[in-house]
Amino acid sequence: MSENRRKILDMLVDRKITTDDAERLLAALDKEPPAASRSPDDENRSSQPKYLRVVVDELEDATHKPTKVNVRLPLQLLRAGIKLQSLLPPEARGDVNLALRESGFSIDLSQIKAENVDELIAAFSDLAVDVDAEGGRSKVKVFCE
Amino acid sequence: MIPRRLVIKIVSAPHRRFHLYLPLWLLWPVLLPLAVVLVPLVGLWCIARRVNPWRVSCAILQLVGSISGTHVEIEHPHGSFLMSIV
Repeated sequence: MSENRRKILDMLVDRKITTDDAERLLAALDKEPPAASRSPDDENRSSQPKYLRVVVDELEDATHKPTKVNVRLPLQLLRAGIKLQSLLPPEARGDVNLALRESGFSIDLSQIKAENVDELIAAFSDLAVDVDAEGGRSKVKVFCE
Repeated sequence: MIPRRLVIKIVSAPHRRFHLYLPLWLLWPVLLPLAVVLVPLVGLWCIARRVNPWRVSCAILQLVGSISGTHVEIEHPHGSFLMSIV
């Protein structure tokens, strides 16, 4: 018998709770899966976001039909992309870095390692960007789910 | 999971519509012989570029497997675009 179950029955014997309360508590205990059966990996995986969402909404009015954007990208694509870029020959990587720098992104692709992807994706679970533009007429939301 | 179908809908004017429904699960067996032909060529390219062919194959397979779930939908007063990979 589990510790919690024994405590409930003890409280019932001591008349601290009614039989109805005891029944409800025991039922709740049965529903709850034992913590030991869930591995930390399972918990991490279920809490990790799967998709990057970008939603743009415009308010509709009589003269203006709104523009709406709804994008959902699997974060696995990011993982696969980082793996692919790690296979780029060094000379090609240099060219890509140069092109990125010319476009205003000073990112060194060699610094992005496939081993760090999980950490990066886990960090995305906290990502949420809300933008209200044009006096609240347009709303942009970037988040992970 | 390998993508099973691709849906593309483009509406550019009230009477100009393009709707493509591609059952990819039918396309994969057709493309398989082509992949078998391409494997040695990709292998040779990898050896020439000093890249591990096994890692390249895994990365490409992962890329193909990860695109399912992609959904892009844009609605504009002058038209709309939808692409969904399931």
